[in-house]
Amino acid sequence: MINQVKEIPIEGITYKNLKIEKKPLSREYVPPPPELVPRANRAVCIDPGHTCMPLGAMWATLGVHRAIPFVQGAQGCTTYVRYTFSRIFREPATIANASFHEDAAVFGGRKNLVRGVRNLVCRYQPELIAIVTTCSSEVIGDDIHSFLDEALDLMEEELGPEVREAVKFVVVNTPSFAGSHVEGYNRASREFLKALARKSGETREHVCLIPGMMTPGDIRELKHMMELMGVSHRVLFDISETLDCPLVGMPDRIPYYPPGGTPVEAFVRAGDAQAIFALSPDAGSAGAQWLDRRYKVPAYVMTMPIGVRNTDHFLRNVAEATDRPIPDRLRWERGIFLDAMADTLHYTMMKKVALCGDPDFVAAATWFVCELGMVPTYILVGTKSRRAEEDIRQACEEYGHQPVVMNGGDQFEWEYALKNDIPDVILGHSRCVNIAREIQVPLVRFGFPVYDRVGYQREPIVGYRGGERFLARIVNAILDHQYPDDRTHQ
Amino acid sequence: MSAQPFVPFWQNPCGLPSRPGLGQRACAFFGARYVLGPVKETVQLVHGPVGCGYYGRLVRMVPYPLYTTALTEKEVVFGGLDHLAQALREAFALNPEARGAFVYLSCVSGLIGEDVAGLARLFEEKGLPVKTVACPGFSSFSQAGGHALAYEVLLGLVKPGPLAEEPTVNLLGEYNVAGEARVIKSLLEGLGVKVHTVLTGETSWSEIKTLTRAHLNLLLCGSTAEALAKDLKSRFGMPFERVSFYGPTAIARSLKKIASFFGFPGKKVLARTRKDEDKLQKTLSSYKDLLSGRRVLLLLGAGKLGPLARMLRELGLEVVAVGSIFGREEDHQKLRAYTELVSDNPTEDELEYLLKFLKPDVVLTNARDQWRPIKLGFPTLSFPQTVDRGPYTGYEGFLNLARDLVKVLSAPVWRFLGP
Ligand code: SF4
Ligand code: SF4
Repeated sequence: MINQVKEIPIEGITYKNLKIEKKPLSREYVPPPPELVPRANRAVCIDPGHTCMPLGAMWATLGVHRAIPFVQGAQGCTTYVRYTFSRIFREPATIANASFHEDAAVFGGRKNLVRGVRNLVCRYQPELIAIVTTCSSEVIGDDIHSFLDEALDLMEEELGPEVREAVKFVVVNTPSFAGSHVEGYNRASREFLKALARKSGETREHVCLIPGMMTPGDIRELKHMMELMGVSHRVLFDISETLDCPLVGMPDRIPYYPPGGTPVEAFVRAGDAQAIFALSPDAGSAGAQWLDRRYKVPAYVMTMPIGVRNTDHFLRNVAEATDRPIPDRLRWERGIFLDAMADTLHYTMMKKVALCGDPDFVAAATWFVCELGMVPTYILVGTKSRRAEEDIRQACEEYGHQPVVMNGGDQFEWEYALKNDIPDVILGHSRCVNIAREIQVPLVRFGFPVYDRVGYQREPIVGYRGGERFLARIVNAILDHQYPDDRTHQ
Repeated sequence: MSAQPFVPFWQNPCGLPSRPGLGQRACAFFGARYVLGPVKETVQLVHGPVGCGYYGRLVRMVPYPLYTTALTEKEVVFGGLDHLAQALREAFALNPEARGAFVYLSCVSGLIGEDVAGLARLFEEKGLPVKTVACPGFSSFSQAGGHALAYEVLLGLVKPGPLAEEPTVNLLGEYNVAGEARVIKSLLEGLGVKVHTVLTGETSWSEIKTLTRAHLNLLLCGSTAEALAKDLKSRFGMPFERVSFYGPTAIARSLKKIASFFGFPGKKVLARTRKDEDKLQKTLSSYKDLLSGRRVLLLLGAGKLGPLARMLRELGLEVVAVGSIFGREEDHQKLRAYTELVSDNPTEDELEYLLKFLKPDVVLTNARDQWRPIKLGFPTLSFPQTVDRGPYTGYEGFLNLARDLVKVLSAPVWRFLGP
């Protein structure tokens, strides 16, 4: 294609000059009947913006040391999730399933749970098993707690009384028709604390963080900031050392467990924490607020620390809760971030941006793009969330934008809007690839899930350093797109 | 076969229910999507909560459109049939080119037990064919149940009709992974044989309807499509042949079979395959040194295992153990010709024991399980292969496989492992 360009224009080649054939993915684009575009008018859901609850609960469980999610349902509910995780993280993850067959559908999943839990305990020696229910077990009406009692009695008979101490159990009810994966994580955060947290009475100087569905890279960035602050901290559901681990070769002890993850002990001690931070309001606030109500641990529920304002806000709250100053090192990082923003403002100012993803990510990113001087146009909040909508409204009011917010819509409606009012750049997850290709707009990947590029799970977007990386990602995408030929930059 | 070390390995026979808490199998819906996903000119809709539709869009790592009724609590409690009818009407309105619809029942709709078949009949009367695929996840031990169901649905579409004029075949059980069907087609074209349709890697509603145009069905994957081939024979009198285009021996044998069916002179086929094979061996010889004698652990669904084991042997590798996910007795019997260690639905810890005690040089497994052997330091090749790795069928495909094995085995990264 480049060969067709006879002359290189002085001001550089843009895709427009290159005359790249537009090849829409669909053979012939027939616009849909307009009345069927808004999700609210349709019974059919096309390319949903969220998936089902169990995934969130499994995600959370995999952040716990030697913990295995046990999915009470049929096999597909697990296979698909394992597949999703394996694509995002490229890591082994053990997830067990109750293998419902026809008999379980008729008689309930008692036998499956009792046998399954025993199999797991004998084969894998986990420290914790989280029973994650599914649509099917909820419709059948499985009484998980009574099944679990029976399983424990039988195991005690077979394996001795130690088994009760050795393995902890948490039950998370996640019928997917009642909420999305974000809610699944939220419920898990509550159920884990409910089942495990205690108050010993001793005061301990530490804070707990519930990150929500942040990537391992983000969690490491959180820890980095807390270390600079000198705050002793515990990340609950810490996937940074379970779903992102070094290649080690054959371990001495099999089955293989990743070395990290939040120890069960950290959940127990959460009752004594100085404060608990839920950094994804829709995925984790339930846990933080429960802890606040039950053990009077002050809960801070806040927008994910993406961008300047949100990170400032987070650090200020940490400083307040722990009575520690914000150190110079962090101010330095903030300065570098601001410098990067000032250096690149020509590329970002007044650029139209469309956003898509989970509520926590999208709300925080909306703040960030506003700070960059970009103009948010269409925002798809994958899971309906009043809190995220409020957050977005607040950001847009402050910066004077009026985006269309599709709260809980599906991708079909959002993509249709994009086709008719093409943005300069899209911020979204890997499932936005098709629309980005179709309207020839660069896609900056972030949020859940990113699986079609490597390394995204390691690169942070939270905090000042993460913000700087995120900014670079956005600007480079715009540059790659507007100046595909690097000869123009020599 | 060399003496095997003692391996604490559970050798599970096939066809058993899954052991709760263990195993890697998927559900009937997964299987049905595996087969029906690529069928064109259709509207495909899952009647169930949002998750099955979200995940089910992806088939063999490629997205195929899938709608969902995204059931909420209200519909689960009060019934979702009206909701489904409305969704179907909308789906047809959005896809005027669709000739029919597949409605998958997932676990929830299977459990609440609505009369979806009755609804389908109503649509059919209005000239909108709707086929119900009753594949709630719990309805079978593994995805194999879904494969079978899906092919039953497709069989229901087939109509009797006139035969094509030139020699024509259908490919059954060919899923066109990374363009494999294209290679097979060109091999057949070399013989002067046309391909009517490829079930289900490259097919459409109308091509399935006129399936009987072909003179012969070629059965490529027995594990999924055998019943279909047999039914087409008994119902429409269509003969079928088992063929395979994985590896030079199989290619030559299969082409000969097809040539003799159509009464083509065998000599011509022989001359051609010789030529291709010679060319192949020339390029292969540089790979063979690295590959010969290497020990392989195979862990995959079912259908690919036999052909892969054969190809690996042709390349000089030794298969030391095989695990299937939903194998049949026939599959296992074939595999026992390669190793004594054959099991169905092995668990992750069983896999780790195998790795520890057998120390294979390379592991072949599916995409979602590949990271475990890699983490433990074993060169691993995953299936289905991505498009960039190219097809494994035909002569070039055999080379591709050899090249991929060489890649994973000789990657410098493994040198840095160890203390
Ligand atoms: S709900 Fe049932 S049909 Fe859907 S993915 Fe799970 S097991 Fe499969
Ligand atoms: S929507 Fe329900 S039934 Fe379907 S995969 Fe999710 S949990 Fe399983």
